[in-house]
Amino acid sequence: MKADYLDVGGTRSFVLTEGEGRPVLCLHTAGQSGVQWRDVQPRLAALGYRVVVPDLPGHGRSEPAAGGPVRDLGVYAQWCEELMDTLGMDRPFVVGCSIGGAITLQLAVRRGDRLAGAVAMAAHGGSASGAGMVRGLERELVDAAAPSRSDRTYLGTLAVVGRRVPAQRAELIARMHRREDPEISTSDLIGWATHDVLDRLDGVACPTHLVVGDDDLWLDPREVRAAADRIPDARYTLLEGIGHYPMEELDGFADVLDGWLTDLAADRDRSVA
Amino acid sequence: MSSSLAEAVTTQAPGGAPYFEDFEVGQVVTGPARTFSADVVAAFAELSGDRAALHTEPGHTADGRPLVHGPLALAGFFGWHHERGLSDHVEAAFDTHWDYLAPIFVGDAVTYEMTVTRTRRTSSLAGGVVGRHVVVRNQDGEVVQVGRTSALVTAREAVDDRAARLGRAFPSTAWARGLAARLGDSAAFARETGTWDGTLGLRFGADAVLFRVYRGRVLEAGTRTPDGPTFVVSAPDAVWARLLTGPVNDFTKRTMRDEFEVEGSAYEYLRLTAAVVALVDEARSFAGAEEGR
Repeated sequence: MKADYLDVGGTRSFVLTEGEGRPVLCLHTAGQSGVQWRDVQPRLAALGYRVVVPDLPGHGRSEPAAGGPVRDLGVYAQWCEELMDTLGMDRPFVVGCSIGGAITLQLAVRRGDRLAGAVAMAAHGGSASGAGMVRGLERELVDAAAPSRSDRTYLGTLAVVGRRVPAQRAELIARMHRREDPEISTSDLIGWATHDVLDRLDGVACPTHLVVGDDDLWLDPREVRAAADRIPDARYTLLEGIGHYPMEELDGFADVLDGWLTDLAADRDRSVA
Repeated sequence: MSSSLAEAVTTQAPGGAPYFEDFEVGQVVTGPARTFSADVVAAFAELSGDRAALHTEPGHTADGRPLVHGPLALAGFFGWHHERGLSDHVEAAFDTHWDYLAPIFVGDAVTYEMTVTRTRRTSSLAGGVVGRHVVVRNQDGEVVQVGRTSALVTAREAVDDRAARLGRAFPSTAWARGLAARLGDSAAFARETGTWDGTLGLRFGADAVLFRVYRGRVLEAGTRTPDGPTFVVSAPDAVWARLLTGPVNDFTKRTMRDEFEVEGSAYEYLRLTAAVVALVDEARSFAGAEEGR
């Protein structure tokens, strides 16, 4: 495994790379970091992929974004494009979860013709239900309006981990999530609440797979399904007993993902033929 | 469901029907579907006098089918209650509050799900009041009606068993005092309220109980404190019954589903997030809920 600090979009950015083969970019959730992919990355690399796991600007070991906390997922998408170009990732897969899933959809919309495929987990292209969140989130950015933030992140994470996940694993996930920077997380969530590419999903030019857990209280699977229906030939999977963080919750996730990516590659070959 | 109520429901033997003591907060009873045929709806139109075309002729609703009278499905609950063997010792119904959420059409088959939300022995000790929450679903699983209704049920024995049943006697003052005593022994609650000076309230439907807290100790519990509550966490009876007697403390999930409301200082409520979770843990333990995952 190789660790680099790369200059991407004016930010010294931490990126872990492992393996040789088809490039895959893995994107983390709001306020978190690439550590969410720690179990997946080595196994996926062993299956024959070049697995690139960045910490988005302001997250983990990456420096803050040049313009301050990011509230527009399009900014992250642009940063990802620059990262992929910097690393010479040719026709990569992109896999992301939550805001990472939404950024994945942004990338599919922006440059689907240059991607091998996209797997967006716990994300839809934007929804009316997100709009009302922004005012509350703006208030949360004032520290005095955000008491017990760490407790709420911990308990809120436990609440959206699926019923299939053993209690000990759920506890580990929730404790890890406490490490967030509230200013960054909350800004990410404003980005989530205002992100909307629904009207452009019909133009996505890469094979795409939307995935959602049926225990994910943040998402209505019907909205994810509706987003999938807008994307040409998109695949849709409902994960039973899994919540908002499939790559952390699902034992053997790398092998499941390998299956999805193999299917997407076959979809691409079919559409080319 | 407790074994006594389960037996009463399944055997329906004479004398086997449940008495007041057999009803316990958190019990859930379901049963077979009931279809409202055109004949039944026509009979109800005659009985009630509501012979409006909406209920008796096709073509007056969005999809053309006549509408079942809302009160027929409500009355159907009491028929269902009787057929489940639950009514033999009912002495009176006290109240009924019902919401008609979605249309029921002639030919639809509905199911009833009843959750016991309150039990309170009367002062004469000869019986008790049982609060029930009812969900009515159609054949597609869509919730078409919800309601609550309470009834006076004869007791098997006129004895004072209130102390033994205290853990599920929410939201009575005696229950609040019992919980307050337990909170005094809860290290988690004491830690989470260790720097707090305020009053937190829990509202069950129309009834609230307050806990006056100072530096990790509950000074007083009841329905009033001199300065009133700092904040009140509020939900319908059925939500509390499921939270406090269900398999897990899923308070956070329920707040994310907007099942709870907060009045008063939202800041202090958020600050006491972990304290409220600890209080729910203690109330669940008091109610004898078994923790699972």
